Amino acid sequence: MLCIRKLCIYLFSNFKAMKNSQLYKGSLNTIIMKLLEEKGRMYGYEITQKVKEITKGELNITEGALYPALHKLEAEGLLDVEVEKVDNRLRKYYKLTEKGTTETVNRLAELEEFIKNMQTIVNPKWSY
Amino acid sequence: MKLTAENIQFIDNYLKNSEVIYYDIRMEMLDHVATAVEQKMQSENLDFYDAFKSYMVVNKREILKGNKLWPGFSKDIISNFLKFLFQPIMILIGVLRGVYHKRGHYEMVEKTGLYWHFVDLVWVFVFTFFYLV
Repeated sequence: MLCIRKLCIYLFSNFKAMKNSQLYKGSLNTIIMKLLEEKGRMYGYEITQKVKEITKGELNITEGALYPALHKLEAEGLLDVEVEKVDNRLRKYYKLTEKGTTETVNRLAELEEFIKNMQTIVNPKWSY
Repeated sequence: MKLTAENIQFIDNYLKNSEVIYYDIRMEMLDHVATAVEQKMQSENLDFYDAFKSYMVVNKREILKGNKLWPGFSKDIISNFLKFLFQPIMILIGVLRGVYHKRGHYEMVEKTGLYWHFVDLVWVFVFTFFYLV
């Protein structure tokens, strides 16, 4: 009985967490790259705050999703890293490489296409 | 409000004790936590330890998410394992083994081995559903 209760709690807590993030998950990389394109270079915390600010707290990028995504983009050669000493500690700044800049254009176009398609699906204009 | 070198060291030790063993990962996490704590100290007018504690209560799980040394079983792993088991080649091998079994060619050692691995397999599921969940 205890296990069933635990299972329910587990599933429910995951479900709640997923509600916000599932749809955004696929476009997280594009969001990061777009921000870096605009801002030049940013560090992790700054990205989370910026996204929160732009979306007025609607979209909350968690650390557990952000850093793996950043590291993956870095490994793919799309991002470059600069480490700098700031108030007693080291800060890791990310910026787009040349390859990353061209890739950003592609991904944004792809995302726009996706949004357009979603809109026509969700809100179709019947032609009859 | 800026954190002092001791505060930074405190957070670093905390992360080290939470098994963030890789220096580069810890460095980045440290900066993240420190910036967040600074922000919290300012906005809620707390001292370092209170701000750190209340930040960690909410965010610890999320921060250490990518740091698990052993990732445990995820849905992906289980479904990949099942896909692997039900490949045509695996089914073929299974069927051949079944045929072999019917002819009664098994030695005692093999039977013991089969039983042993059967128990192993059962434990894979028992462990997943009763310990990890």
